[in-house]
Amino acid sequence: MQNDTSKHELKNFRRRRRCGEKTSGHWEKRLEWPLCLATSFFLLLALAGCDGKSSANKKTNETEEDPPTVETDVEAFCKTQRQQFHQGLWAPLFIKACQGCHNSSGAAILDERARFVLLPETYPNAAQANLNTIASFAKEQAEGSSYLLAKVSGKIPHLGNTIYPEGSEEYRQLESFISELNNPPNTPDAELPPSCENVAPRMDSRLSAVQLLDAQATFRKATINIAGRLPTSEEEARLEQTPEHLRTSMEALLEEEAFYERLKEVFNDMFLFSLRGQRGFAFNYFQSKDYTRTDFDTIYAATYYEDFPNIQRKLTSVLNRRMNEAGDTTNFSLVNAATATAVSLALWEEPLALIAYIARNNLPFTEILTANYTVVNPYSAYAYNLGEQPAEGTPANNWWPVQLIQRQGTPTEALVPSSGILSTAAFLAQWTTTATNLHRGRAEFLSKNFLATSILSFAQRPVNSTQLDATNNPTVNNPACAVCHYYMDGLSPTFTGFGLGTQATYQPHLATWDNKIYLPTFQGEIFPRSHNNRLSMPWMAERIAADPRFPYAMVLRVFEGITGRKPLEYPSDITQPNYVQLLAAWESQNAFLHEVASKMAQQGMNIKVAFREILLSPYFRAAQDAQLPAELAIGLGEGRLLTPEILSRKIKATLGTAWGGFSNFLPNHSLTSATYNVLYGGIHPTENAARLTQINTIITAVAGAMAREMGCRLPAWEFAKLPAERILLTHVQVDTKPLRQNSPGGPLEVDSTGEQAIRENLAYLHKRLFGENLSPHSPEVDLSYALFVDAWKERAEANEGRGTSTIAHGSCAGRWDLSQASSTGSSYTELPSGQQLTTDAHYTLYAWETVLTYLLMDFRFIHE
Amino acid sequence: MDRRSFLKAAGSFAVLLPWAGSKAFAQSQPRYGGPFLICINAEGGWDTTMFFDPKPGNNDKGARMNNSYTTVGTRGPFSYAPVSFRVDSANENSLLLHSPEGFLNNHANRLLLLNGVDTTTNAHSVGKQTVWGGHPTREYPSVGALLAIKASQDFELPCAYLSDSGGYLKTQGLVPLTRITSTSTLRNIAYDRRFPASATNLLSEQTSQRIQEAQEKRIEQLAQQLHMPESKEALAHYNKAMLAKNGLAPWMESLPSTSINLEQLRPGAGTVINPVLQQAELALYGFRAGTVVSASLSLGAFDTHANNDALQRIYLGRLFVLIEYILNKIAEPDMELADKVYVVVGSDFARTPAYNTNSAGKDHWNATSLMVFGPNIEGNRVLGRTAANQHPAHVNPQNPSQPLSEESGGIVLKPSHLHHELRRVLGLQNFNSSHGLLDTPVSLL
Repeated sequence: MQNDTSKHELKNFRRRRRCGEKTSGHWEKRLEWPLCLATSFFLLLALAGCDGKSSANKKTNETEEDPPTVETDVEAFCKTQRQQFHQGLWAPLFIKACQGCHNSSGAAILDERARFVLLPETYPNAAQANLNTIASFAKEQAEGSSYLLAKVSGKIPHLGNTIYPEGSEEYRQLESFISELNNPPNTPDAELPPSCENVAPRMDSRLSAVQLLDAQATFRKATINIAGRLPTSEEEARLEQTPEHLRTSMEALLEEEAFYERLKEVFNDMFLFSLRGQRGFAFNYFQSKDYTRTDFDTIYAATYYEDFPNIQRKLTSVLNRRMNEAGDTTNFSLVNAATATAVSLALWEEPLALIAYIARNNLPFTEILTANYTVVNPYSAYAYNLGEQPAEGTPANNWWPVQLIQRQGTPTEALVPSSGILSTAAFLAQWTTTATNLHRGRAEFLSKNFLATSILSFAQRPVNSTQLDATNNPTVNNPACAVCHYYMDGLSPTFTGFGLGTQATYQPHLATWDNKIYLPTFQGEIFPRSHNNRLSMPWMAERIAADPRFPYAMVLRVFEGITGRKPLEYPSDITQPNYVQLLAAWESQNAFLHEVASKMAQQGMNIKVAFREILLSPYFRAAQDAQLPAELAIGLGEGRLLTPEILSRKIKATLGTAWGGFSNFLPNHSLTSATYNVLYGGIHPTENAARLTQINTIITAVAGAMAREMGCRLPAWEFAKLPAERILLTHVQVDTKPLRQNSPGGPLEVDSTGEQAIRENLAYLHKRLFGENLSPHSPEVDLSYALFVDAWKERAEANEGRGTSTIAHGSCAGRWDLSQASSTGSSYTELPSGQQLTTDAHYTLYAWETVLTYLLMDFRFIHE
Repeated sequence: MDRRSFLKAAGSFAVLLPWAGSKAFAQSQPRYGGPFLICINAEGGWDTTMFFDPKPGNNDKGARMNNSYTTVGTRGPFSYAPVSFRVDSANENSLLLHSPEGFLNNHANRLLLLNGVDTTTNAHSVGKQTVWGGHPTREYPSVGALLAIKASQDFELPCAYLSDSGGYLKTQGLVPLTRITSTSTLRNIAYDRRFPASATNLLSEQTSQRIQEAQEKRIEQLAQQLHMPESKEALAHYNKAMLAKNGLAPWMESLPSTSINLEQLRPGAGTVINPVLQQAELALYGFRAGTVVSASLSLGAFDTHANNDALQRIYLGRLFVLIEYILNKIAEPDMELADKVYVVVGSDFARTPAYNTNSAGKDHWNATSLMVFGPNIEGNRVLGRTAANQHPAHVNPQNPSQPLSEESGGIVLKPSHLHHELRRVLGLQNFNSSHGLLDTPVSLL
């Protein structure tokens, strides 16, 4: 909603405008690049709203619940103003040279108490705020000239030295801009531009009008993505009758248990924790016989008087007790390896389980940083000295909140400095530091992932090693270093007190502030020396969580997790040929992401709001729009290559069994196994931090292997089931054939009944596997049917006279129930002998194998 | 520059066209015949003073620059650190993996060494971007990706750009990045009719052929249904990948029955670099089979903020074994690659000319080295240099082996200089219009 002032200005603006009268040569000449903002105000004043359409005819709805879908004149004016600011000033002049030091945690602010503070692009409507800041400084004078010009040219003292020497092109551009601002053309009052102060960017109205997937198709896509299942028939019927229930259906979906697993997956793309045993914790050496008792004594000598999180010491004591009980103090194999593995997995999962706990209880998502508790399951509780060793087979999926306490070295028990995920052993073990790095990598992680601001982006200046060497303490005193380090070294003490070598050991004696750069600092606020040192992490976490960029950063993560596409990056290179279009696309998407962040913040900082809003947006639902400009279509439409995890769940959901069988009584997914996960573009905690989003030949080869194996296994299993239990071959029987012989030795003729049943089953498969609603006689089904018939004929002709056909691979015979684990937990349950199907007497198994192999490699099966 | 701008500038719209009538990969089609490229990144920042830019003395603050030696070895134009790289760096009697001297004895004639190359950064990500993409501030595709992009415009290539992890692997979406792990895994999936990891054919050849034809028609149908640009683009990528899939089997067939392993090269050395050795083997045989154009490999944990010398020696030993395997394999007559493969070895940057207090580690340093091997590249040369204190030193742009003061027109070598030259010898100059490089070209290769 606009405030009264802007409404008044808009009214006057519309009343006063005189279309076309100010597009004379005088104004055009003055708009040579770089565009002058001050001048452009007046040209835009003339142009805005003069596209032949009357604004009165545009459909608008200015209620908060339903923002207008059509851009208003003022919005168009302000958008153009912002674009010119980005292109003419911000990107070429201010980003690289000013923003690094003149952000609120930069060297200029902290050291010089500079008043000139610029916001990163990731703040809501940062362009307008920065424009206002620059405009206000343009009026100030120093040493007889503009204060800004005097600073950048080094005429007056400037911590960053000379940025743009007098006479340089950049200096000239800035001078021109300031001159225009300070000496506006003599313009009648009637042509004063509207204020953009309260006109925030929003998603391009053309995206609001894009053709979306209908409610059913959207929900199917969401159930596969979020819950790894297909919609139920009840859900489909409900949405068919009342599509407006899509929102509530989505909200219900986000309450399912599977959502919390997906949530953990989305956030683990950021954290890269080892959830499948790719990495163990250090105590894995309990499983090694190479270590001697002396090693342990050395390692765990009372070097540290506190031992949070207390994992290694606990397990050492367990080991010692077991060895003592066995009377053998050298037998390290007495350690329960299964327990150690379960503890390792529990510790890696702890931060994600905390995230899930916060979401499940609809707590503010800021608690992922600020929670003064963590969560444990029976295994991590055991490791934290909070419970006894779990009995064999104890489930690991029961998590509850606890506050960790320190047990040793202090007179009384006291809480350790818990701070959401930041103080977990997993975070500290994955995002390590060194004695010279001093938590700076962790600082970058904090800033990049929780404040949507990469510190490294400040440092586009080349590093001159000779200059660095000549500077005492260059991270403080050399501008080339300080540009990053002031900001970074304010964040890095967040972790002070956590060991530099033993990553997850809290050592309060290290939490000291020897130098001012090691005091925690956020946005110019310095951690008070009088505070208890161990409060530094919670102190910082609270400030990060309260920053407006925090919900925005969380929305960025959710957006990429759901859509598989990275949010557009701010286009800072104005030399790109389509810069204006890219900027418009970024602003549109960025405005949408900020809108979602704002809704999330307004609704209790509930992360489910971010999921819901993105799932309902064109970025998830867009189907077709040939008219949409290419740059606005970036990130829209189907064609997202499914991740190994999502495709694994889709296989299980659509086919009724996983590709990979069973392991320890649970479905085993080959795609996420060590064998195929990396090949298929998945992440790995130490080797591959980024997912592949573009298909390659190896990925198609893995998908082909899956399709062949599943295509081979499924038909016999399906036909071995009772008809009511089938989920794939539901319209046919094992002897339903496309052709028949009316007499022995006679010619093959069309079996119209068989053909119709097969076609209907194929249409059903297209629906089940791809979500396509097709007629049994559609071109798509024609293709599948032709494949079926040719395969059937080939096998029939090859076996003519023999009456039956063998199944090529023993694994594909219908001997097993592919949905049930055997008593060993690692293979399938065998079907009763009378139910087994071990030969292809009607050649239909081969024909269905052929079709399923074809379908399971389809573009629409491995993409969404 | 974003991907779409690039496509426009490069005039390559093929990837955006759905079903452009491409033919399936087949033995009878023209095969890409080179040039090929292998880029190896010493992950984390290697210590150049530990091999071919030795610094036996103190820096200008009086601190020792390398604790592992006090003298320098020389061989022709090369200086080298007189150290050995052993399996156990703490045990001088343990198995010798390699040494700077030994490497020069075997390969100096092919080695072009660039010293004092100024990456102008001490940030890992920027360093890798600069060294392998050629630009300090723009995320260009890596030079390996550029070569694969160019080759893919004219040839169906199943795995044009190969990698495992690490290094700098930007492609701007213009060519698929293909990750590989082990040879055995690839063999499990490469055969289009088999049950995975089995020799049993599930489908007849005719059925398999019909499936492929049906897929082609299905893609044509989908191309008519999808209108959003990214949907069409995803379909086009799927189409290309599906077509090229048939090229995997011939590639696997061309491989030796036993994959390369470290024990073959250094009996007793274990298995520590088997994965990257096998990736190199896959790349080289992929070159020969016409399936691969370039490979980006990475090795080691060179980010030695603690215990620098011991760790650097371990990882450099492995790196030198890997380089030697590649060079020797290329030279084998049967491979028919001797005049077709370029090999570039570099790192994020280098390490400081002093040790960190207490940890014996070294931090990041911008002046690094690069090793280049390839057809028509004259070996036995050292271009660029560092000063005594390991700062990048100025050299004569007309003859970069010679020092020349800045005042007299001397320049400091930068990664961009190498990229100008790599683009020239690899035929990638067309990218200069869309992906311009900084600095004036200098004759290096």
